[in-house]
Amino acid sequence: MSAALLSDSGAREAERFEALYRACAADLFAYVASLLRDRSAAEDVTALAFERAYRRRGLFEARRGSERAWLFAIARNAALDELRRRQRSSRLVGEIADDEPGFEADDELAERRLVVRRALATLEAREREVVLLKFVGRLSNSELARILKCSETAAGTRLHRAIVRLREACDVPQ
Amino acid sequence: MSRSELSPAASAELAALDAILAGEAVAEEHLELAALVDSVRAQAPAMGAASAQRIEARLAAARKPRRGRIALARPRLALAGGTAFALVVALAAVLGSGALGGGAGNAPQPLAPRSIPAGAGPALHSLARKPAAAFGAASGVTAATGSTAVGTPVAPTGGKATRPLPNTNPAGRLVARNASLTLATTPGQMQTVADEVVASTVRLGGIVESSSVDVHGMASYASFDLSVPSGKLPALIGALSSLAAVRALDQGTSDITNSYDAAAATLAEEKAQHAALVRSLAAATTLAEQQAIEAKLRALDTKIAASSHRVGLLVSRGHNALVALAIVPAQAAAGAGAGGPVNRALNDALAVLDVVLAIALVALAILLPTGLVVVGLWWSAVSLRQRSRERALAATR
Repeated sequence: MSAALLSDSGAREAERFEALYRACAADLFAYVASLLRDRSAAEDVTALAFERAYRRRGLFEARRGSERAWLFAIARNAALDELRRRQRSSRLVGEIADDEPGFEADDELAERRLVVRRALATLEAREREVVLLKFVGRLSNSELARILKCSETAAGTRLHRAIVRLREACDVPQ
Repeated sequence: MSRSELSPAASAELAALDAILAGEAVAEEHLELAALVDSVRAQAPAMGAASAQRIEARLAAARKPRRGRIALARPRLALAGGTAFALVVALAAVLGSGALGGGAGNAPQPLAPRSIPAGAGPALHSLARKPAAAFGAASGVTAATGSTAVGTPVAPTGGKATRPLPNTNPAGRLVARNASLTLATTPGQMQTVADEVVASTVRLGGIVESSSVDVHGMASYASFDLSVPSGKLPALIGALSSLAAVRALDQGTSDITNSYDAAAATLAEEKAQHAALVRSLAAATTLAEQQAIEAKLRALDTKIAASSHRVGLLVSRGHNALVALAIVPAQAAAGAGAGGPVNRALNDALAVLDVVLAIALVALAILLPTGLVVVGLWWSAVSLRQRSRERALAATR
């Protein structure tokens, strides 16, 4: 994806924004929904993140990272704001349901998904988040560091520790 | 990528993870990690067609251009607005302070008299004491200096202090007022300014007691001794100050009531003696007696004339103020009205630069602390909000 995707103005801007949407929307929704465990709220936050990105496209600086990382940072803030609101209203959210149940034909894969989901649920929130940002968001460690506001080394250490914990939770031998 | 704090195995695993996410092939030892990545990605909720439709509908609505919306990005708009506001405030402050009127370099500025603090001012001191001392020496009576006050030099740029002298002539007191003024102008303007001095003095009901104008290039010099009704002194100083740049201004007052009372008492006593001698003369029976009385009367007449003159002088000093004016040459005093068009343009340009600099300084004085406060508040708000977000994340299970 071009780093200058959002920087141009004019008629091609909309087309480029469409490309960004197509490239990131699914992963962004997956990340947000995993954080919030609420499909409706995830839709809102995903739409809000794209809206904000569109409004603030003039502020994007390519030298500070990719547009994908910038978008995930916006989405993260929006998702955490939603979590804050939810905590203020003491709203409880259960497990998120799949949009298309029965899609998974392979029982072994379905079982594996369930194990990983439960393992993720046992992680601390910060560990779970770094795994989601890396695995779902497919961000580099430097982009992770910028979003998590820590050094790149710290981000790598935090990520590796989370992976180790996830393996343990999944009971996968290292 | 720096992973100096990670073990080699951990670094290798993170490198493999990047390769997996990029869709590249990895070594067999990392296939388990690839499966874990797949599982994590697979367990994440999929967006689905319905969700995608709803999100896209919202986005389409949000991306419609809104009428009347300012195209500038908000931070830039805020910055531009803040700067404009600060400049307006600065301009208002500069205009309010009168800096625009006082920045014309050496251009003549009207300078109204101001009250003079007590202190040493040799020029005025001598001016204030000279008549009284001369009177005292001639008559043998010491002049009362009462509330004599002397002044200090006033900066040429003077400003617009228009506060009149305090009323130094309360009921029953006779007060003499004096002023010493030094103006600076170009030699070419010296005669014109001198003519204006005379005209201004006459216009205010005063007289030029003495004058001397000598125009010889930079050695030019003019001096005046002016007398005006005491009540017109502020107006005269204001008028003179508007003729050229003011280099110095001293003012003072002297209570001469005691001197006047003493002179008047002496005069009354002498007149009483005169009346008594006249009566004696009328009663004189011999020629010798008449001649002796007439001799006394002649001597007494001389004394009475002198005393009357003395009283008249004191009354005049109480009713009229004295102004000692000096006009000196000044090369740099070529202000508006003097010199050629290039000089005038240069002075105008300097004056404009002066004002611009004043505005910039005031704007900076407003912008800098305001900006620091705003940045501090903004930073605090962002930090608090981010901390609150992190707490919200940490609180989730």
